[in-house]
Amino acid sequence: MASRGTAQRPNGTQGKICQFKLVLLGESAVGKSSLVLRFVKGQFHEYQESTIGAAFLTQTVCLEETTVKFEIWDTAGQERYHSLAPMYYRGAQAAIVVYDITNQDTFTRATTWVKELQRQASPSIVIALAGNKADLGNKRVVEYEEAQAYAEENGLLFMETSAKTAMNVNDIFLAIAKKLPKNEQTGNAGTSGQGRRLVESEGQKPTSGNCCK
Amino acid sequence: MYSTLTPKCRIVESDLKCKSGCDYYGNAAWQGYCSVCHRKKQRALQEEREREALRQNRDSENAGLADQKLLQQDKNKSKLNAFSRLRKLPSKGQEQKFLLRELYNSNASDLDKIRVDNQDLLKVLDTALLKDLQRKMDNFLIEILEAKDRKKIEKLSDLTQIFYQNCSKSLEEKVDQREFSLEVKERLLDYIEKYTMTMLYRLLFCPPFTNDEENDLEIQKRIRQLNWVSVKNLECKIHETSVEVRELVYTSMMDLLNMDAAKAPQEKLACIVHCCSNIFLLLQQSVGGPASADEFLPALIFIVLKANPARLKSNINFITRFCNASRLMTGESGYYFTNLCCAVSFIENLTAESLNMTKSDFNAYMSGEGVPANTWESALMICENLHLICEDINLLQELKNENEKIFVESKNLEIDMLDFCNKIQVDVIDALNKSSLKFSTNQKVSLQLDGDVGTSLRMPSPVARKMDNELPENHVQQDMTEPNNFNSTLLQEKSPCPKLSLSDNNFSTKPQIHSDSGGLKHDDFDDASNDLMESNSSCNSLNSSECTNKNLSFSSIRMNMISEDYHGFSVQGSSIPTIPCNTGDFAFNLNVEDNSNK
Ligand SMILES: Nc1nc2c(ncn2[C@@H]2O[C@H](COP(=O)(O)OP(=O)(O)O)[C@@H](O)[C@H]2O)c(=O)[nH]1
Ligand SMILES: [Mg+2]
Repeated sequence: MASRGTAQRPNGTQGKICQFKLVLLGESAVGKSSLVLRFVKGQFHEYQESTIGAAFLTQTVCLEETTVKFEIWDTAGQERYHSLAPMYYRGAQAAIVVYDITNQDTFTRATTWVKELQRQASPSIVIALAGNKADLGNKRVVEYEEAQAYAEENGLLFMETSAKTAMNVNDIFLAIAKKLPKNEQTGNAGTSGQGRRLVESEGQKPTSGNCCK
Repeated sequence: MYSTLTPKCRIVESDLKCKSGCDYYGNAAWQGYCSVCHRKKQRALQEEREREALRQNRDSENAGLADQKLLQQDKNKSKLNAFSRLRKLPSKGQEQKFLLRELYNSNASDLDKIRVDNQDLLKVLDTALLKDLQRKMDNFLIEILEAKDRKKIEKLSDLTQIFYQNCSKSLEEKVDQREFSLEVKERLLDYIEKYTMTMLYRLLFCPPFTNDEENDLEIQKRIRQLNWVSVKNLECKIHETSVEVRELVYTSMMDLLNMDAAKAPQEKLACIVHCCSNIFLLLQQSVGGPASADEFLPALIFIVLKANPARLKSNINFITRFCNASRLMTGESGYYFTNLCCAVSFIENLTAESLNMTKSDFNAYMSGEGVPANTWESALMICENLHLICEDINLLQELKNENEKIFVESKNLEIDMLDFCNKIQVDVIDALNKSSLKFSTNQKVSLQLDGDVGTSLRMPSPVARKMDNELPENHVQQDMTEPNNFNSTLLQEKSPCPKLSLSDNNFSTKPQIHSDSGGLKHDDFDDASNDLMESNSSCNSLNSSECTNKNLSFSSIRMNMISEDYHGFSVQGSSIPTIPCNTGDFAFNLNVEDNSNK
C-alpha cells in the first residue's frame, strides 16, 4: 500500500522516500551481479569481507524532490530457472535487462526478456536495457545503434555500461529513478506496481557520489 | 485395527491400522483413526453438535433467563471438549466472545512471551493507545471467528490483510502527529501480527477445509523421491569437503526445519531469513566472493531437498496468507521468501532437462532402480564414518598406550617386590648368620611397649637373664661393631627395638607385618644406632662382658623412657652415650628413671 505520511526533512523541505523493487534480468555471465555490486558497493572484483551476497541489495538515490530507495533483486540467470522469473518480477516497479555487447546471443535473449516483461509484468514497469562490458569495445558484436533503435521501438531506457570502469552504472539507475512515477497511488502493497512512499527515517543515509546531487 | 486396549507383547501391524478399517495407519492423537477418517468423524460429530445446538437454541428461546444460565454452565463444562470451539451456538456474539476467551486461555503462555519480548516497546506507549489496539485486535479476532465457519481461506486471508492495513493507517496518523517514530510503528505492527496470529494459529494453520495437508504430503513424497539429487546435478557451488561449509549446510537445514515450530508468520519468515543468511555465508566460503542469485537459488534448492521440511506447503501458504503483505513483497525477507517459493516450484516441476540428464537416467533414479554413484549422502556418509573411525582409532591408541604403561609399571612393581623380598631375606639371613641371637621371650616385651608403666618397669630383668644365660659374648661384640648391617629399609620396617623383637621366621616370611609395629620414627632410631656406634667405639677397649651389659642397660633404659613418653626418645637419647661406659649395673636404670620422673 502506499503510505500517506510525510515528514519534515532536517533541512525543512518536505521530503519523501519512495521505495522501488527492481529486478535484474539477463543471461548468465553478462555482468548483472557485477553491475549491482558496482552500483551499491562501488566494488569490482575487489570484494571486501562485508560483501557476503549480491543477490539482494539496496541503494538510495537522491533526486531533487524525492529520495528513491532501490531494492535490487538479482535473478538466477541459468536457463533452467527461467520459468521462475515471473515470481521475481511480480510486483516489481523497475527492471534492468542486461546483455553483453561482446555476445550476440545475450542480446537476443535480452529481447525475449523484454517481450516477456511487457506481456506479464506490471503494465507500469519501467524497463531499462543495459549493454554491459562496454570497456571491451574491440570485441564488440552488438552495435550501439542496433540496440538503441530496438530500445526506442519498445520504449525502453537504454545505456551501454561497464561494471569494470563504472561507466554509466550510476547513470542508468538514476535514469530509472527519474522515470519512476513518484505520485501516490492507493492499492495493495507491491502488487500495484507503484512505489511505496515511506517517511524518511534518520538511520537512512543516501549514498554520496554522482547519484546524489 | 488400531487398538487402545491392554498392551501386548507384540504389536501386529493390524493393531496400528486405522480403526475405521481403511488401509492407512491410525494414530493415538486421532483416537486411533487415520487423519482422513478422523477428520470425517470430527466433521460428523460437529454436524451432530450443530443440530443439537439448534435444538437447544429453540428450547432456550422458549425458556427463561434461569435456563440460559444453565446453558452457560453447560458451555463452561464443554470447555474441556476439544471440539467445543467448533460449536455453533445460538447467541452468536456471545459464543464468539466465549471462544475468544478460550483462545486467550489456551495460548496464555505464548502470549505472555510475546508481551515480555515487546515489553520495552509497550512500556513507552500510553495506555489509551494500547487499549485501543487491544480493542481492535479483539474485534478482528471475533471477526475471524465468525468468518471461519464459512470455510473460505481466501476470505480469512483478506480479512487479515485489511486488518493489518487498517492498523498501519491508524498508526501512521500517530506517526504524523509525531507521537512516536516510524520504527515504533513497524514494531507495533509486528507485535499486532504476532499476537493475533499466535492466537489464531490453531484455526488458520493448515485448516481442514483447505487441501494444504495433501499438498504437504505430496511435496514430501516428491522430495523423498529426489533424495539422490546431488550438488553436481544442481550445478550448485557448495564446497562439500570443507568442514565449515558442511557445518553451515547443517545449520541452514536446521533453520529451515525450525520454521514448522514457529507460530506467527513473521517468526516463520525469520527462520527462512536465518536459513538464507547461512546459505550466503557458506556460498561466500565456497565461491570466494559475494554470492549472487546464480549461486544462491541452486544452493537453496539443495538445502530444501536435503532438509525436507515438515509441512512445507502449509507453512508457505500460512505465511503467504497471513503475514503482513508489506513484509512479504519487499525487503530482504521478501526476497528470501520469494526464493523459497521458487525453490519449491522448481522441485515440483523438476524434469530430466532441468537437471541436465537423460530421461532414462532420471526415471531410473526417481523409481529407485538406479542410484547415482556419487551422491551427497554417500560422500557425506563416508566422510562421517571415516571421521568416526579416525576418532575411534585415536581413542584405542590412547587406551593401548595407557594399558602398556600400566603393564610395565605393574611388571616393575612385581620385580621391585621380588627384589625387596629377596633383599629382606638375604639381610635377615645375613643378620642371623652374623648373630644367632634368639630372644624368644623379648617379643613379648616389644608388644607391651604401649602398656602401662608398671609392666614395663619389670621388663629389663628377663632380658638380662636371657642375655646372661644364652648369648655367647663374641657374637654380640661382632654385631655391635658393624652397625651398618642394618640397612635403612630394614630399620624402617622393624619395631622400635629391632634386636629384641627379631625372630627369624617371623621376619623373613611376613615382612609387611612389621611395618605396622614401627612405633618410632626412622630418624629416632638412626640417632639411637649412631649413639650406639659412638658408644661402641668408645667402649671398644672395654671387655666384652661390659659391652654386653652396656647394651642391655641401654635397651632397658629405652624401654622405660618409651613407656613414659614416646617423643622424648631422641631428646633424652643425647644423654645416653655417656652412660654405658661407666655403668654396667642396673642401679643406673633407677637413676635415669628418677630424673625423668622429677
Ligand atoms: N570487462 C568487463 N568484464 C565484466 C564486466 N562486468 C562483468 N564482467 C565479467 O563478467 C563475468 C560475469 O559477471 P557476473 O557479474 O557474474 O555476471 P552475471 O552472471 O550476469 O551475474 C565476470 O567474470 C565479470 O568479471 C564489465 O563491465 N567489463
Ligand atoms: Mg550473477
